[in-house]
Amino acid sequence: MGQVDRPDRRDILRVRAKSTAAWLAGASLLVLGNMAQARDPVPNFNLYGLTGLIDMPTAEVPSDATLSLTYSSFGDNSRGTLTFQITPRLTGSFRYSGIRNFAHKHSVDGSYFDRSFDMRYQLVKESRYLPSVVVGLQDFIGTGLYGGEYVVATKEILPGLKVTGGLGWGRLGSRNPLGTTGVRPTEILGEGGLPTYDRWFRGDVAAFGGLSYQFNDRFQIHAEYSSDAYTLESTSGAFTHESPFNFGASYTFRNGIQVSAYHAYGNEIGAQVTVHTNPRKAQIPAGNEPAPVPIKIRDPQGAYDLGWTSDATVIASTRSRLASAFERDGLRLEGLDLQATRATVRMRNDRYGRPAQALGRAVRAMTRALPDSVETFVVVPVVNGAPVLAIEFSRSDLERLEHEAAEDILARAKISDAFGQTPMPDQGAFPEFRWSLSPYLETSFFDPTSPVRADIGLRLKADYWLTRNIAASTSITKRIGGNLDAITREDPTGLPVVRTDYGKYASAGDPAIEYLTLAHYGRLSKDVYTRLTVGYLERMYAGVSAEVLWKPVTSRLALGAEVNYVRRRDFDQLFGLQSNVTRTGVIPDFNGHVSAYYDIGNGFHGQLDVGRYLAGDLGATVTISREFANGWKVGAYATFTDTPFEDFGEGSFDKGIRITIPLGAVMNTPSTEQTVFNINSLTRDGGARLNLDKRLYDKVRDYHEPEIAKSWGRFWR
Amino acid sequence: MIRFLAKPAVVLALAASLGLSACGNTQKDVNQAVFLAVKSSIQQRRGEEVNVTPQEVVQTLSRNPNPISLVDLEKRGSQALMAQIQNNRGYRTYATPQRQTVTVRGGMMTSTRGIGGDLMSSYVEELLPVVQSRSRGIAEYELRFLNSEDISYTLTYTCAVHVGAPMDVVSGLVNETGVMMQAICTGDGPSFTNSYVVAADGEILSTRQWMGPFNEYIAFQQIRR
Repeated sequence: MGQVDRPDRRDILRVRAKSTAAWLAGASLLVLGNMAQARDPVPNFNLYGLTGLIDMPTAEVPSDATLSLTYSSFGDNSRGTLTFQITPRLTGSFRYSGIRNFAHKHSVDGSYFDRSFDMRYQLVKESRYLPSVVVGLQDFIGTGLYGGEYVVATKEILPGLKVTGGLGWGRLGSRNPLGTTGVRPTEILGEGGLPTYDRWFRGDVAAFGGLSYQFNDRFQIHAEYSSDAYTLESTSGAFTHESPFNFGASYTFRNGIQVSAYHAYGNEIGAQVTVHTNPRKAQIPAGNEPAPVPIKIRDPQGAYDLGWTSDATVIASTRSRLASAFERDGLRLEGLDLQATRATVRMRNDRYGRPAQALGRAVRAMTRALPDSVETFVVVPVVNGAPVLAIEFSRSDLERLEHEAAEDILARAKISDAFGQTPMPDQGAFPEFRWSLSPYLETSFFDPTSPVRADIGLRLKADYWLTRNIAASTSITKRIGGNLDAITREDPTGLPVVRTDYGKYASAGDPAIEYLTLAHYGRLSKDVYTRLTVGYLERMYAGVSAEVLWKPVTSRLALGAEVNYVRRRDFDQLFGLQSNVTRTGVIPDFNGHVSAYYDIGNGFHGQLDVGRYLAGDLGATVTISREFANGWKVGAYATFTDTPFEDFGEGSFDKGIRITIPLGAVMNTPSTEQTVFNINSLTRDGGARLNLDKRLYDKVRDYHEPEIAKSWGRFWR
Repeated sequence: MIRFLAKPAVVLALAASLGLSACGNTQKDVNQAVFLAVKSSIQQRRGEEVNVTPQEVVQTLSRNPNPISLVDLEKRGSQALMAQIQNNRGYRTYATPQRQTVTVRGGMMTSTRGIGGDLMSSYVEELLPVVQSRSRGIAEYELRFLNSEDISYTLTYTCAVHVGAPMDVVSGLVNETGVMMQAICTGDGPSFTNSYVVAADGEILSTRQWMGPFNEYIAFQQIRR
């Protein structure tokens, strides 16, 4: 046991303030998603950020897709937990916790920080006679500080009165055990970060339970008997366990935010706040954006009038009327192939997060601008210079089905690959300059010396499209303030330093060129998309990146390959390069992956990347995401490479959670912008890939049939 | 203009922290979103009801030669004047200057756009003839919506149509006698009762319909046919 560090009072406060800030940063995103949300009651959450009483779990289950963020504190313990209802029965949680006054070899200023993952599964749903029954694994990957397993049952026995009882192992079996089921090992597997399967449901088992009473839909009270003896906190920390009985009260605001206060373990007081959102409920249904223009009905004789086809002024005015109609709806007409009975438009959509809506707006504008004889409309959306879809409608169908169910027009539309049927851009469409200037917030979490760091500044982004598919792009940042530059952590690593120098990049790069590239996007053949990027690819690497993607327009499966040649950039992130030789090894010139992407169905998506990572380690990344039609994604990934766990260092292997929030779905107005939150283990050198923001798959897939069909109801919106 | 349900001004602060208050030539929509959020939160705080005045009715009728109607979103206390902008084989679409629309068939509302929680389309092939014939009957009725996840869903109802008393409809340039019809509907969603005043030619002069869980009842009255 290491020596007990007693930090002075000021340090304790500083640590507390920082972990609160971490929680706030995350909370702001959930509050954003929390707006205008149809409320349905969410069960009470406990100090662990799980459905529970006070410190003990219950068998209650939030509705599918509920995403909850909890910050709790009692005594020396603070916990921030993100919980997601992965399926109607399966729950997953990620927790970052801090214990003050805790003696541990990894404690910093006397505070010990730890990450933990939980999983819960509902075995039995509550019915007239049966209680709900849940089995749970707590802190089942990692160092196991909170490690415990339980089976718990909850039943509402009188209106508002719920009874909970359960059996716990590990932590939850540490007080007054009833018996024992085998031997529970104490050694940590690997460097932490591995499933602690050798411990599950082994060792002492103890009973816990409690009652809750709900006075109304706002206010409830709880009492519980805890089977957690807080052994480690008592021996290594300042915790004194005086009583197993805990008491608490919770209030839920109209917007669903839960606040709770507790008296715990005889001598501690605690408090908690929980914010919920749900990707399926987080926006005003159908949005607030203006109505589309109605379909214009043709004069019955108009179809035979072909006089315009030889009149250049009519053709020119048609083109300009269509361009301005597109512009009114936030679309860009890049090209038009106008024939007597058929019109094909080349279109760019920078407004609608759901492509079906962009297609609907485009054909409505076409009915108003194109001559009556044009019976066939083909719309070809272009993304990053590459045509991604050709969708053909009969104008008569559009007129006839405007006020019918949206799937009727989808059934009549013909979807095909745009290769070989895309009009060239109009004269004057290129070159085109696009730019934006916006504030940014960059964060770094989970560094034990400072769990949260952040910078704010300004970011200038610009794209200069030289031709339809060649773009020069850059992003430049200028820091206004923050403390990312104070990172001095230098982790032991058995690999070439490919990412762990991030502190040096953060402190030297101001202003920084995040990227400065020349890129070509192309279509090699039907189903095949290509990207070639040259220049300063990302903050740490320059070089060449080539990617090819095979994705048939109606397929759920896509295959891709990417190969990169890299040179390490100078820490100041300007134009200089430095040697690929680092203090712990040489970064190989080449890295790359082959990837398979598959839309599994029922809202799940899988991705497998196999190849050579930046540090030269060989391996694979598995990503599973729950995806929602409106663009929300909640995913988890793990990378396994040939790097031995001891070379990888703390965490054993790279893993994380990624949440994608489409801004359109929380702002209630259309937008193609999205915010991605990455919550991963400490940045390590194993399993690292280049950070490229214009990889092909997501951009291409959005417009392909399996995706557009999911939110096709937006077509007539 | 029909007032949107407001979002708290806190959206703005959060939007700023997430890097949304940008300028440039590529992010106009996001700016617009922030603007709308502020604007609607201001309106929300004032708690104003938006009522159409008789002067506005007169002005609109004199300026716009097309059919005009008055729509009333009861849940929000918002009214607006709308002018017909398109007739697609009997589906007549009316719009406010702010691009919010209501589409009617024979005077019965079949869809809305741009008011939030829009009714995307309806199946009225059974209900409309019964109401227009001013006789009793039973009819199937379907309402189609988008949910918050952007997935379409349909609420199916069975409606019992009853004949009520004759009524005079005097509004704007409409001055006719109709018959009050009521449709009592039960089905997938909450039960509701729609009311229609039907002229002798079968046109619904005035209607009050349940338009979905988000907007609930909306009234629509023709003031120039």
